[in-house]
Amino acid sequence: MNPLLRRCWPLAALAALALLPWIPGVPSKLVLQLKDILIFSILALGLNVVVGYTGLLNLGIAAFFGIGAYLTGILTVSTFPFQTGFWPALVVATVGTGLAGVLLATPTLRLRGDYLAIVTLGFGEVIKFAIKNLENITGGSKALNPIPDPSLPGFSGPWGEKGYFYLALLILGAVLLLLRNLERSRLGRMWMAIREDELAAACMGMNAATVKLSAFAIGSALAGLAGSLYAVSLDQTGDPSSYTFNRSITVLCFLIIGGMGNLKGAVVGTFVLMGYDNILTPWIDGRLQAAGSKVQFGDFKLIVFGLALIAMMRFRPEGIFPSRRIHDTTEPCVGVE
Amino acid sequence: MALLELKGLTMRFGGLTAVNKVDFAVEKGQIFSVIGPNGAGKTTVFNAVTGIYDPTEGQVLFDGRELRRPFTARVATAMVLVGLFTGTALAVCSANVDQLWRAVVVLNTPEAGGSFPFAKAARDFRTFLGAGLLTETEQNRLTDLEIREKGGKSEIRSTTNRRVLESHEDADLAVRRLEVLKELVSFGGSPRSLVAGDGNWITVNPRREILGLHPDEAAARRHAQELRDLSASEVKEQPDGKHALVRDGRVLAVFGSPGEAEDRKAQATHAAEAAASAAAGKWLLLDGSRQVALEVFDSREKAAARLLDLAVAAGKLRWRIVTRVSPQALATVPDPEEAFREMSRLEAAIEAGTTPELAAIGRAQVRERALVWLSLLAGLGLGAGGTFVVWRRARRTTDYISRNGLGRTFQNIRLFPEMLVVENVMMGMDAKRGGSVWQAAFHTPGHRAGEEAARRKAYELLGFVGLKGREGMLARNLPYGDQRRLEIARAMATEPALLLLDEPAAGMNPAESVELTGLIRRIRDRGITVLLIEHHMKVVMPISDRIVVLDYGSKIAEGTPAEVRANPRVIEAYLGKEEVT
Amino acid sequence: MAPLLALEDVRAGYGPIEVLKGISLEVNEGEIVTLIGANGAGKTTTLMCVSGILRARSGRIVFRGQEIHGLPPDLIVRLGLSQSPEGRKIFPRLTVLENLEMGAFTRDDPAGVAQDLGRAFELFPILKERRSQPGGTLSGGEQQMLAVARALMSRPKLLLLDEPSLGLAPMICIRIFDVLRDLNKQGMTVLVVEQNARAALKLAHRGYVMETGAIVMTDRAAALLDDPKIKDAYLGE
Repeated sequence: MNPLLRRCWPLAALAALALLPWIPGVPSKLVLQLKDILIFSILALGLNVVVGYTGLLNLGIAAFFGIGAYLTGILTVSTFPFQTGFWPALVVATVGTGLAGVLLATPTLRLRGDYLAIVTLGFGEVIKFAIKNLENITGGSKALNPIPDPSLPGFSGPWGEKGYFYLALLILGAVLLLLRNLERSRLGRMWMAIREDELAAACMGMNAATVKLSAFAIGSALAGLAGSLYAVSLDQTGDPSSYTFNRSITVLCFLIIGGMGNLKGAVVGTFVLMGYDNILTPWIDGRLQAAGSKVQFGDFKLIVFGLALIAMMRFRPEGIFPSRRIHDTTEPCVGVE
Repeated sequence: MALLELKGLTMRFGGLTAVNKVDFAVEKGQIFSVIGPNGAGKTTVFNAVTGIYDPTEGQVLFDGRELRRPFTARVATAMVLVGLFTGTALAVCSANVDQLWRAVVVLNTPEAGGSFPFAKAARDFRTFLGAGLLTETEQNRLTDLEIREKGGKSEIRSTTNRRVLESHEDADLAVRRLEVLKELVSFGGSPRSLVAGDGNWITVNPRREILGLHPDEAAARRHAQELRDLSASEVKEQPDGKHALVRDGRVLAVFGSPGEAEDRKAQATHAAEAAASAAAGKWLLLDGSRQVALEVFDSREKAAARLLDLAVAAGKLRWRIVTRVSPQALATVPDPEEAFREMSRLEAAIEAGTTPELAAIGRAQVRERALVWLSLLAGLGLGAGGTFVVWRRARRTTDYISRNGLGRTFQNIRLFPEMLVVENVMMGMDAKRGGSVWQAAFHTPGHRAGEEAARRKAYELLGFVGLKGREGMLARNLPYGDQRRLEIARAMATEPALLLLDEPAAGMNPAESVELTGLIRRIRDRGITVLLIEHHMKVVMPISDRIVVLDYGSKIAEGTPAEVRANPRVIEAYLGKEEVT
Repeated sequence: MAPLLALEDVRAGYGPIEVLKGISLEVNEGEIVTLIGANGAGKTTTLMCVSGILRARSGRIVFRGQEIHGLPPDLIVRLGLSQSPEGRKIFPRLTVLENLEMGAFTRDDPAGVAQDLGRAFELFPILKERRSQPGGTLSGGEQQMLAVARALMSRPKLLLLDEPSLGLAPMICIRIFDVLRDLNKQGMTVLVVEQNARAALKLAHRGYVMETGAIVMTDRAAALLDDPKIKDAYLGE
């Protein structure tokens, strides 16, 4: 592959995606599913900042996703007095969820590895029960609805799946750009330094606490942003079970498959797994049914997924895109000068 | 003054004394070595100096300072903020956040477009936190309106609270109004009964049925005229056998059969006297099926107020007075003002403990209020205290000491193995470089210039330690000796005044060690004082200005290289009769 | 007689980088052979290929007449080849005594193990003092002693030592080299990689000099010690 192509293919892939809804014969359901995949890509990118770059195992990302969704719901539905409309709600949800991340991270900064994982897992459970039981605030199992469509000057009428598809694509593109910049900046290096060797990083004068907090804040804020988009594209906050431990693990799987600590990996992992689950499996089932088969592929999809995960861990444990492409530009490291 | 001074430094781990009352002073510009047998406590001294350990006893003075974080205004602010947050959170939780939200937000939410009653919400917030009385509206199903003749007039009034809504001279009009009001009241309080005529013109007939929605007044008038024409037309058979509706010789519409034409005319007649009305910006009160506009208002507020009035007057809405501590209502009142009067009366009665029940409520309220205040105070204390403890435990930390000019390398190399060589060095500068997240995220020119400068400096430092040409490799792929050199470059990037090197020559052959002595000299010539741990006497002896020898955690000798080399205790404990190197 | 260990044109590397560019060397029974060279010449990589930790890309590695290229490390150890890895790879949570016993894992002569344990403690008295401490709490140099002592405990046919003197006090270095000489006299064959080239050459019978992944010179140790080029490049005189 020539270097230009190698550098530009993510951009080309995004552009191709943008054209997809205009290809005749593309069903609107596919656009709807792609929109979900784009939103979950943003969520995976958020988790990637915390787990992939900084190496802090966070098992409660779904909770932040939920906080973003419910903040948006609370700020926009007509049963509450705020009714700010979507755009301010998007900003508040993003910033607010980032703050929630800081609040969770502050007392747990000294924890590492397993211990932090347990705390984040517990936080996820707390949020799950809070959503279920604070019915006056979250609407309980009825969810908060309806969330009005975002207003745009010069455009009225329903957004539909295409509108949300482009909104998600635009925001994903912006998030990718900003994260790529951060990755190559001083802050991105400090995140990775904490992952590689915290003591050595401290001896470089880095305040590990501040660096970890910034990772938690940005990761959670991205999760909140994804949650906000998710809620508005559903017109409601949805089923409370969307924000449980299961979701956290699924998103972690996106990263593991795609490659930890790699932007492309996070997005591709999301596309591969969600594409398999939401697009490929129903398509195969449709074909099987048309062929008169009584066997449903859907019954086996988790087995296939499990086997694929095992095979992945055996043959390519670093994921589809490893964290660092080895781009040694120099001669092999042998010999004296 | 000495750059680094150890005064009686003692380190104990459990029962084990690793370092025992060590004193020495490193002057500015020196190369100062610490030697001694393995396990003598040399690395422990380094760890105590760089803040990985806190001294059990004694002091480590750097430039005369202990390098502990001072108590600044920022710490105080953080304590207050965290305290306030935890306090509020605990208080709100102990007051039942879900019900609080309902009392303050949900119940006060106005209908679409209305403004939020902040004063009332604030009052509700206070009474809720104080476990006071709350009002809840309640929809009354036992509503009916009746007409009563009184003094020659027909009065429309509610059967539940006997309030008079309207009175009319004309009995027929009263009957018609009764129907309208019944419709309105039955939907009282529901936002769907308000529809904006915003931007649209409607055509209505005298029975107030909506016939059409139109973008502007002209279209509405055209529609009205069309309907009038149709109702006044007559059915005529056309030459081609079809039937048409004709007025004044003008064909208005053509139909296949006479029946269809008659139907259309009847329809239009039914709608006749249609008129364009309800100008843009008016608000309508509609009935439930949204077919009939019952009343028209200029503004939303007027319409909403009318709706509420009607609901109250008809006894449709009632106010229940409840407490948070007992679920049943203390009183039910049909009127908001009366509800507030009743609330004040009840509050006084509870305070006075007029009846045993009210007295019990009063006691429960006092308990609740105490609980809320207690949670607030406990949260304040917990938050502020916790912040203080965390700050205190992190007063003397590695990063703070490093930023104050103390760099180090490690005995077991600790690089960032999955990062590039040049990034490892840039990392040494990163903590001191300013710049916000936003600058980094948007790659502002200032940020890019900073990165570029850091990269140039990193290349310069890598050249200085002899790693030119290896900048783009992964640190983990460097051979052992080069990793040591990289660690030195990285430590130098933090711009230290004092550089601590822990066995820099380990893993180097004698020739490379000689090179290293040159490097250490050049580091000193850059104005950096060097504190060195090393076993290779070929490195230590020629470059050290002063040497300290440790054995079993205690200092057994100090002096110039020649003095140390000749010291019999040092030879016995450390050097051995015959030197290996 | 066939050599105990023979490497023929061994090539190996990491990722895209080739570190060993065709290494051939021999170690005869009863010899001490040393491998010297600059940092990054590939000495450690050579040892890793022999002990099976790194799989060589091509070439033959023959130990006691058996091709061991491609065998897993545990099988190679059972054949009588033991390595003390560079960088103090000890078991940090096991005590010092347990670490040493792990070294004798493949042996089944309790009397001999006890005797070797006694000798290890004699060699490194500090280890005896700290026998019940977890290995991870030892200082860096003490961990190095533990790693060397553990490698000696396995009483291999062929002992591979990677920088035994790394980070050790001069007196301890002397003692380690004395012990190696003793063990050799009792019949143990040793292949040692050592930065301290002078001490290694004094100890060894023969030496190989490596440069940028290839062997550039081989001779009797005493001859190498006198070679002006070696003096210049590695002995720092």
